Amino acid sequence: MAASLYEMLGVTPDASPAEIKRAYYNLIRKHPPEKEPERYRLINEAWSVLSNEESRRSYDETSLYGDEVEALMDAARRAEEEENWATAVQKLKMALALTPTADYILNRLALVYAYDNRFPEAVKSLEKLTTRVPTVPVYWSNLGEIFLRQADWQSENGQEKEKTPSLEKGRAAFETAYRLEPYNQKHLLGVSRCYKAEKNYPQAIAYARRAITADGEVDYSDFDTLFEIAFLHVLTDDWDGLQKVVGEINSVTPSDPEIRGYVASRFARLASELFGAGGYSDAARIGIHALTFQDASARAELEKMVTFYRYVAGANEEMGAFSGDQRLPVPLRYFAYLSYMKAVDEPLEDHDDEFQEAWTNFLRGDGDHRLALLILRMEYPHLYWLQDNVYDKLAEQLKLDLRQGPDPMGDGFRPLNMAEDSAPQRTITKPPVAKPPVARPVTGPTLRESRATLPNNLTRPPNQGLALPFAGGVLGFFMGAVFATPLGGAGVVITGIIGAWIGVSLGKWLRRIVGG
Amino acid sequence: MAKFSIGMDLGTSTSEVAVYRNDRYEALLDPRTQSAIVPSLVAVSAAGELLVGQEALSRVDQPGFGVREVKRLMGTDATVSLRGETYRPEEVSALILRKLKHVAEVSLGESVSDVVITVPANFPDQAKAATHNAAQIAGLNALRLINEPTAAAMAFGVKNLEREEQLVVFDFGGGTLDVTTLEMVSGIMDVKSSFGDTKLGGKDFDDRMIDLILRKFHATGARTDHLSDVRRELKAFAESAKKDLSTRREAEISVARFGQKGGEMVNLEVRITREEYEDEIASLLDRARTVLKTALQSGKLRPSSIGRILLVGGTTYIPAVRDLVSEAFGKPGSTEIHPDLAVAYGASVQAAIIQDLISSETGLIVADIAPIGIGIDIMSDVGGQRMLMYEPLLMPNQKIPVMVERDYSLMSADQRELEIEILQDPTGKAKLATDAVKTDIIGRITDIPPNQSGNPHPLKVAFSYDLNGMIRLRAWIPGLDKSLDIGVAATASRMSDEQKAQASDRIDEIWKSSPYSRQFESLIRKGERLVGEKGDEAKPISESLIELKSALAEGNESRIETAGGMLADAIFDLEG
Repeated sequence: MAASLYEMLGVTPDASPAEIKRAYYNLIRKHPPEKEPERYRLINEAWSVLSNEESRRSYDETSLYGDEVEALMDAARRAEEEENWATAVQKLKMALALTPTADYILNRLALVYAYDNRFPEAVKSLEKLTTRVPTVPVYWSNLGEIFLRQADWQSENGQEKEKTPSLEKGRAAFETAYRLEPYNQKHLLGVSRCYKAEKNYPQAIAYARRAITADGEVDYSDFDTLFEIAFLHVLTDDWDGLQKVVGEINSVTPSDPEIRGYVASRFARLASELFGAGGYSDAARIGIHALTFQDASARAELEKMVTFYRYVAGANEEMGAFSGDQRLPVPLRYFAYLSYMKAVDEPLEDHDDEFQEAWTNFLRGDGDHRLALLILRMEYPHLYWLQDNVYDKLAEQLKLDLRQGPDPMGDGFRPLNMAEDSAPQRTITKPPVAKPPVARPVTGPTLRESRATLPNNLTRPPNQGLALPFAGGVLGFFMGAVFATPLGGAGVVITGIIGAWIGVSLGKWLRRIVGG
Repeated sequence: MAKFSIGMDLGTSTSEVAVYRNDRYEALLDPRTQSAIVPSLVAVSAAGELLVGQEALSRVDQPGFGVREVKRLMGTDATVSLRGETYRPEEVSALILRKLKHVAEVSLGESVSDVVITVPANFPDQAKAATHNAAQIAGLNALRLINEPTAAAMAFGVKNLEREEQLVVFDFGGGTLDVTTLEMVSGIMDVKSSFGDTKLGGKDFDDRMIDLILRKFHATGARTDHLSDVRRELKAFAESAKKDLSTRREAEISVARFGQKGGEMVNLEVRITREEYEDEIASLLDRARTVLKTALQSGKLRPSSIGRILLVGGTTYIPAVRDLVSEAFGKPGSTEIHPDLAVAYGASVQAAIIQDLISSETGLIVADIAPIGIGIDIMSDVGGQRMLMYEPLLMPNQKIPVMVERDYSLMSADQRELEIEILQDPTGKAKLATDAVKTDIIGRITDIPPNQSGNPHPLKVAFSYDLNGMIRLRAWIPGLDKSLDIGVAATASRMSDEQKAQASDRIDEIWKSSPYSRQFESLIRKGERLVGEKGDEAKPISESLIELKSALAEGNESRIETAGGMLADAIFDLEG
């Protein structure tokens, strides 16, 4: 098989181009198309490969070393599966030594370098490849991916990626791939991802938008991209933009409940991730949009989760004023604070004692418990809700009717298809308004339930709490380690978008409580 | 073995027929005009006579009485109307071929059936099929359809077997421009590339001339509103003015009582200089320049490496077109092979090769190519999106014949139907299905049973492109009795054998109304009268009459001519 094309032309593999040409013309005369069309066809097939220097070399390499190269590629594949990158690199290099013009092997080698975080080598290999064959889009997009991966890796290792020039190069590589393949949205998304990594969100959005129309139509296959745009709008706090994208997603999503359920779960998952990162009101907003897609059968669980997010988001808003509200006794403020911290799932350790102690201190303390409860209920309805069973029980003992309080759900969030008017609801602009009667679940969902009932396929960020019995109470508490770190320290580290504010105000607040 | 071989150039504006015999080719002359160039015109006279070629010129531009440039309609579903009757383009082309057959039979004194017919390098598959059908309807057996530029090169090659050089055929005809690059090596004509513009030809240059004439005429205040198709009325005048400007600096167009001015009929009197005309056709020349540039690029040739540029086709008579070629190559184009006849010559050479009049051991051999890429549309995953992509099966400028087999799969296990369309890719750059040109050659497989295994059915596709440039594509699902077969099959489906036979009878019928057979009618009437009057004395006349009638019935032109001559002689002898 190895020399069949040469045999077809009746020459030896070391024949000069002139010899091959002469042989070809002689053969055509011997087997003209009129007399022997089939033989003539095969002669031409051989000629088309051997008459071109490049294709002849690649044919030679393949026919001479084809078996060895195949074995080496197999070995490299196995090494890759075991993530034994050094071996894979070695095997691929050996294969390349035999067939230096085999572009696909060089491409493979670049990818293995990248898996091994050997970015300079990966970039060098692909730059060589894109110089040699500048018309293959996938080599350019791979180069772009490697720059992206490198930037990721650098930022994980403490280097600021937006300061490294590799993302600019990554964009250029994706742009070249796009010029070669203007219908392939992946290349535009690559540019968008580079901009996102550089935190240039408007450009990231612009390129993602172009990606959607790269194939000429906006349809459900663009869902992932639209979803990415939705997320980019979250990152830029552009709630109008978010609302608009959700509308677009809604219009391209087919009515198939399974597909809509999937879309809902993607939103729910994003909400849960935002919540885990401390973006409580973002989580609430995204969660609301998840409801747009969930059909009635699976809606209850999702609603529970969204309600919870909304309460926490509200509680977060209330926290600033609440922590400094001197009308309220310190132990109550401390108790509510603990409830809040538990709800947002801070890394708490076992401090049910503190919970219990705070509540006991409040009950034992002087001051008007009725007034305190009333203020809590009327002005901080979200914080109230976080422990409403405890507060309700006390109110009942005190013969206090708190049902006339403001609706903690009156925060203006609406899922898209439930909006009464089409004007997008932006942020919590209105203070909670008293609105009788309070349509509130008799027993609010416990934190654990809220957390545990995420829709299918969702992965929650870690930090699941433990349920511990609260003495004398019917509630289950998740106890955490607010005070596990010395208070003189920087306080509690909270990641996320609103983390900074909480970190600062929390630190002050804690000191005062302890001092008091 | 045949004593001679016939080649026919069925052109947009003119058609020619040539014979190859005794190791040389020559053009055959229309016995009535003594010209080798037969205008591709078909018309019907007021008396209902069929007119083909030069004779049709005076009638062809009367709406409903004549057809020009029918080649542009070949392969389409368009029809033309001649004196209230509707004809397919195949039938009109068959009349022109019939005329060429007549020219050949009269010239050679033998009946003619086997011929090679030329087609433009970029002719669509359906148009090739239609040409094949037209030959059959005209009573011809098309040995082969070959590309016009290749044919023209063969006319040169067969005379220059010893030459080793790169040449370019610049074929600018009535309807299309094709630039073909070839290499001549030891009697082998190796075609390297062919690139063209199928929508650029002499017709466009005529149109510009008509524009110019009308603009100048209207500028005098004359009006032409009373003419329903003023452009058509001017067509013949424009053509001749264009020809005049090839040799003169100025052309005069005068048509009596053509326009109206102030309620009176006025003559059209317009003078056009070569400069004015060249300004008018500047954009056409630009297009031609672009084609030339692209063709040289796709053939990877530097102009300086080209040893010879053969000028072919009527449009190369335009001086500005010749200048364009000289500028591009740094040397003038060659007219050593007659630009109007080169294609027909080459066709006769190809026929001679097929019929063994040219030895394959010592004579010319041609390695021809497919000028345009051919492929199909397939659904493919591109960056997570399903997109309809162009899948090449044949690259432009690939040597023919070609045969490939490929494996595909359906999109899902429960796919019930599948459709494959043959697409063309003139530049070899198509990526998306929408980048390629649709051919409307479509095949379908329906009622596919779902695959119980849960995997999509595999699909095999076999594609071939033969020496005639005809496509065949078969696709089948292995293990199931489900397949499609398109391309050459489309030739059959375009016109059934029955339709072709009917068309053939119809053409015969019309042909009998042509002056070529009518000219014997009065002779026959006179002969019959003499036989009635003179009895036995007129025996040679009655014998000739029998021969002539049977020749007419057979439609054998050379026998008709001979028998007609015999009858005339016999009458002359008796009366003399």
